[in-house]
Amino acid sequence: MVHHRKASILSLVMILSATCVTAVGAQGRRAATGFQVGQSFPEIAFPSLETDRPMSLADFRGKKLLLHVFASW
Amino acid sequence: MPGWHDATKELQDAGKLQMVGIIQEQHPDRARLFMQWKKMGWPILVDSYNLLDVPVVPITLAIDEYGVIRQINPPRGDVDLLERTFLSQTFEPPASLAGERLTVPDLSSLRPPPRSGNVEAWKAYGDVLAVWGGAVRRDDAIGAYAAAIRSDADDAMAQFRLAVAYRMRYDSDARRDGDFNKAIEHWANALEIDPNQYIFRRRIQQYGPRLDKPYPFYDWVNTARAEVEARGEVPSPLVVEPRGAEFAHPTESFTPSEAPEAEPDPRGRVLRDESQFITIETIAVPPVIEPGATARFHIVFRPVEENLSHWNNEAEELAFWIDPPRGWEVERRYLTLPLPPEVVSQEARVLEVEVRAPEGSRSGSVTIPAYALYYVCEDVNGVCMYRRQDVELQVAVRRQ
Repeated sequence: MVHHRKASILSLVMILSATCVTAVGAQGRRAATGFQVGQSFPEIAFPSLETDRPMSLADFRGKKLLLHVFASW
Repeated sequence: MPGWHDATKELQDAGKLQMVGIIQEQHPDRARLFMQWKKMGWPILVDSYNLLDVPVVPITLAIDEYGVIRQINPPRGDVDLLERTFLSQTFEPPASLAGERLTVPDLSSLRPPPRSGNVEAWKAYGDVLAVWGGAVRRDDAIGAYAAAIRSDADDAMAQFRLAVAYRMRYDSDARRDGDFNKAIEHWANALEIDPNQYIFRRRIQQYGPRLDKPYPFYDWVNTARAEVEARGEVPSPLVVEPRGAEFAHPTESFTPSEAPEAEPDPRGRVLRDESQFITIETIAVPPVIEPGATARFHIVFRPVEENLSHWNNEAEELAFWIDPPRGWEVERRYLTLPLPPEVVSQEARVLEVEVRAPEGSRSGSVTIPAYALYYVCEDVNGVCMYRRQDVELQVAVRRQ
């Protein structure tokens, strides 16, 4: 019984710890990148590098994307 | 990013994954050359003004078919993991799904905010003009961002975007005196307000001293061109050629030249350029430094078109002498610029040199005397002469 309670407490601590780590990790990533998992990507139109015409991620709706925000340097 | 491209090539070809890029560069044409060099043909969106408000690059996002972010910076190049945790997953659409195709705003019906408008209103107005108004509305964009700053001088993004617009005008035919200085000033303001914003920091480092550089920014350009040409392709042209600081490698110490340098006109006997055949603009990057820190001066020489001024390239090269105040160090006191092959020419010429403030500097503005010596002609077939122009290199020191 004691062992069972200890195991339960340990599980709870582990779950809480994991939750905290996940939460901190998500917040850290949000702070680091400005984005958050589960958030819709901002609906902003940008000029296309090739055509100068406006493009947004809505132009790729229906496809799974790997989006790179980058610079060539 | 090329790593991701290569690793996911089969998935891209099979239509299972779409690669998209958003570039955060002042000069997007450089990214075009980079993409050509790396054979990456996917769509690129241009965000020189950082409308996305990202603090850092690179960022990689796995985004589902509904536009929802599912992963941030997945382990680089781990395609198996990406397939298991993203590509093979089924995602539910969000409760409200945007997705109308966005179009260019109608600039003809766009009206500025009231004079009492807040920083956000002016910034939003400036964003539309800056991104979609092109060169024609750039002055209006600059006015809008300046109004945003008058409303709230501590708005870092308004400071940053104003700087971007100034530098874009500097790189255009509509350039005005002081545009580059203003760009650096507002980038510096933006970084002081938000020192954790690496996009702000990188714009200054792009033009700044080697001690502050994380890496050479555009040293890949020459390699890219050579390799693209070797493939039988024409390299994508650059609107503005990178130069000087943009190629410079980082360094960990400031080492002034120890070679003996003879002052070219110690008694000041060369006639001054009273007619202003050449204008000289100087830009300190950064404009404010701490004691012991370095600044990089960009010194820009331009023949005055109204005077029909031309460089005389059959004579000696342009020379520049710096006379630093006591305790200040300079990379080299005597600098020259090589002559182009044409007999006469009218191009802008740029020298870059770094200086270091003494450890014991007091706060305040510092003037470093210098002068240029050059051969200039009144017209293509006009009278040519040797002239001197005295220059003041200005930088501020601030003790923390």
